[in-house]
Amino acid sequence: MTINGLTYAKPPENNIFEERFRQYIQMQDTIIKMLKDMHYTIRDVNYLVSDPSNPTYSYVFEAVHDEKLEDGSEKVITLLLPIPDRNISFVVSGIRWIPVFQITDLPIFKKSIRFANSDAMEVVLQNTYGLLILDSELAYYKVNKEFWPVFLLMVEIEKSYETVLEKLNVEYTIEAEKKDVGINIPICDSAYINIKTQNLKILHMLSPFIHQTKELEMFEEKIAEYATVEETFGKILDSWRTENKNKNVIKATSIVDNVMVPNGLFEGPFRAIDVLYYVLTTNYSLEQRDINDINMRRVRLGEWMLYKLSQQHKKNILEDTTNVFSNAVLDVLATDQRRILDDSVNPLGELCMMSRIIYNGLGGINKESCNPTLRNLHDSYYGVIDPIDTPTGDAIGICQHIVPETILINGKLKNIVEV
Amino acid sequence: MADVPILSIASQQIPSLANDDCTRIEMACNQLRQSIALVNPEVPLYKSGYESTYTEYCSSLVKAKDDGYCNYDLGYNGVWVISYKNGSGEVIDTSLKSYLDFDKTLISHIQYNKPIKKGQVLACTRNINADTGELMLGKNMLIGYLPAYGWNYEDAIVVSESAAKKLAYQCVEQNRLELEDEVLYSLIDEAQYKPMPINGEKVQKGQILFKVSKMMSDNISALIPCYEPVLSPSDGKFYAKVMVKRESVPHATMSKWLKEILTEQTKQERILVEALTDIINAPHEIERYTYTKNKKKIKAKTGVIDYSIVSEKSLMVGSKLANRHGNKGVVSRIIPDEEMPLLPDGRRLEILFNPLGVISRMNIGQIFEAHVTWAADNLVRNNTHLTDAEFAKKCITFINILDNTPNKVYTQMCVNHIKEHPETLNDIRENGLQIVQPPFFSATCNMVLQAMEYAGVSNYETVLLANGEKRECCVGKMYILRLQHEPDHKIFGRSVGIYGKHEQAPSGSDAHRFGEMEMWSLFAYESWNTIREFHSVKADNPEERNRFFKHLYDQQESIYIPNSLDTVTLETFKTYLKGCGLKVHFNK
Repeated sequence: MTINGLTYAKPPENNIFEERFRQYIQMQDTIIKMLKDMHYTIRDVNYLVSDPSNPTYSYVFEAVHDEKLEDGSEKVITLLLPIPDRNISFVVSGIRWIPVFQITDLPIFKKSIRFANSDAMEVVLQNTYGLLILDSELAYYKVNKEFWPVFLLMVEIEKSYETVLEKLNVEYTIEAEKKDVGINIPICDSAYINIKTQNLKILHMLSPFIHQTKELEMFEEKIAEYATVEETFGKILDSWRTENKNKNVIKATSIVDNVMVPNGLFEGPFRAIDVLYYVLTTNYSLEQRDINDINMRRVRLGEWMLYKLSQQHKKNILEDTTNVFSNAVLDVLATDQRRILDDSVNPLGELCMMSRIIYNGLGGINKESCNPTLRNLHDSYYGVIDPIDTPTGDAIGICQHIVPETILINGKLKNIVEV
Repeated sequence: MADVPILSIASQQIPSLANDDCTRIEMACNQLRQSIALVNPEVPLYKSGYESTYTEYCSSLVKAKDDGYCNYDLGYNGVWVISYKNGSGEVIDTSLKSYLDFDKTLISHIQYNKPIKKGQVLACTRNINADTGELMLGKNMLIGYLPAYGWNYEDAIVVSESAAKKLAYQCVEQNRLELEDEVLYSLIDEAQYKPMPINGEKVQKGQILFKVSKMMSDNISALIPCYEPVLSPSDGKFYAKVMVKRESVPHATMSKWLKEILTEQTKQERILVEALTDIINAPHEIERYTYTKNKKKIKAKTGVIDYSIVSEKSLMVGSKLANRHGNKGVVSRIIPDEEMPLLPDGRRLEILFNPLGVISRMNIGQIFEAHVTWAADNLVRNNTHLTDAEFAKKCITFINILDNTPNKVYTQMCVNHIKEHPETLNDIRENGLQIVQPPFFSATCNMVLQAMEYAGVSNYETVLLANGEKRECCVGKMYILRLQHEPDHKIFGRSVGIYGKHEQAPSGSDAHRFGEMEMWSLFAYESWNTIREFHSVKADNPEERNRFFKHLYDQQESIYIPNSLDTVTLETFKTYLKGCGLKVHFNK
């Protein structure tokens, strides 16, 4: 120990990193409990990198149902849980200028590669223990070839939707129009959102809680056209349940209670687990991402992938198998566990990853066709987001870094001094 | 300013940030993230004070959560088990990281059955100081801002040979050998069975690592011992890990060797499981660290050998260096130590930057860093003979002059620290005095000048060049980072691709234009043949190109010389002139 070892600055208590670990541990416990309730037992736990282009390192829970199917085969579920201690970035995909709430745990799901023939599927919980810091982002995700707003997926669960409706005192008018094609609603000069009718109803339900701005006046007029009372969120779920009664699907029980509620109305912890429960009981499929991203973003991992692909290709020619890519990916990502660490160059890079906000991604801002005003600094950044630390080039202003001297209060970031 | 903290983790690492231009800080943040782990990294002498604040939250540092002791420490599986007093425990797993990237492996600082205190560093990577938990991204080098006969023109950097060795990093090449029914023959002779080099043995490029038997379907060929050699790709040290799935193979001595490994693996596993059961109750959690779990995943019949060759790579011409203030550049020349400028105290400079790279970029923080470290260096070197009390007084007054923190907080901290730990003074004498300059509370210009006066140092140091000339230049110790970009990784080739229809230049993906600047550089070197090649064969002239491909296809030994220099661009130039109504005629 020397004079040089003196730490001039010490981290504040309950900072974002600590909060994130705490959340993660809660998540892990609740998932195990939830699986038990569904009569599943955990068989296997592994490491995995779920997405090569934007790698998230996760534990893989492989769980088996206690009862076997009529064929004698097993029901298997694989669950991916992100590892908190590395490479967690706040992926906030969305468009700004619309005041919305906060993000808790955001599930994204896709069909598993390994069990392509069976009914099993993977649930990937993407690393968004984050939060919308700025009151100015709306995120929506592409699920089942439809755009779902993020707050539909991330839900605070306190009351059932009926009681919430009573609280809100919202009235709806019935209109017979049923259109699957969404509409483009302009938000500012260049940006617009594509919203399906189904989601518009929900937006309408929430509209009294959205802050009144000039942009939203136009918004609301269009939303009102499509709003109906009968087919609210809960009704849709009920109809879904009746359809799938006869099929071999696990029954959803707790999902009725899930209604999205704007931030600050109810106190208490967020339970994204119930959303996960909902996701588990449905059969969603999501398109796979572009493979070209590998080469662009993570060169070292990409090189390794190509190398493995070429090796695998040689083997497959001999064995006359067809599924070249998926085999190679599994080789790299599943069996070759040590590739996990190839991502960040040094510990500083890892810390920066944990405090990064990215606005592009699924349903987010495009790097090239982004309005320059969106890249500018905003007043609300002060004390929360670093004004200097952004990459030069295309991603300027779209990728940002959080100030570490911040504390989580009700899911929002606040500077220590302000508190 | 800075009543509220507004900086991210990367920009917190920059000392005297307020003296730099924002565009250069932006670059510096990105460069800090790109710096590679060196073989022997150092803590910076000129610090921001935020080096160790948030490192405990990253995965490359593990601290003890409570008092306890180490249960299992054999390092065989890369696993350390620690049980705390409150009944809980911890597993430090390095097996994932070892054998792949030696920079990112956790190095344990635990001793078996010895008590552990709360907050003690259990394991960390090479990037982090085990005592203090500070980031170590680069190295402190003796630099000067001096033009070196054009070798550091346009942000190039001149480096001495000894400095090139100091900034070395470890390169790891990892491979896997899957064993089906093959036999590994001995490298020496049959009596003394040795299928591969020992862990840590030095290996040369092209040396045989394994002798693997060729698989033949005939029965006859099995009698003849013929093998396929696996050669090492580069010079370095050899490391390997064997995972055995089955013991019995046709080769008797090999099966004996496999058996030995298997018994050791099972023995280790038994001890590990016992240690783990004290902490963890869930069986699947324990299984994750065990050998039998990993054994199931191996596809090959007999087993797998994961081997890697570790080599140290020193600086080369073309590798990228940077500063913490956004001053980046590429190494243009590596000069022997004797030719580097000589200081009056007998030392030689290690790195030469161009002074013109500072003025227009407005990153004056680096000049502050150079001046302050040079003053501190001289202060320590000239006063080592003093007694502890006098020496401490000198150091603290020096720190006090440079301290711009509110209410001189940092000097008070230093005074208290020296009282509690008097052994720090010896460390300062050996390794130098480190000075903290927080981003927005750093010293002003007058403070720096005052400190230099106190240390007895002038702004400019007279330096003796190799040819006998004397020059004045700014000298100091700079914290220098070696970045990820290496010339070896940037080599690029394109065999066949799309050509533009108008100018017949390579286009589409992976195409690189050979532009004016590139042409000038070739003019400077008077390399006429390569210019001819670029203008005829490789880009412009389709006839010449086809002729060249045919030359390659026929596998002729002679070097191809293009017949004509007529290019498509020249012809388009002709047509433009004709379009103007001129009569054009070229004399050959």
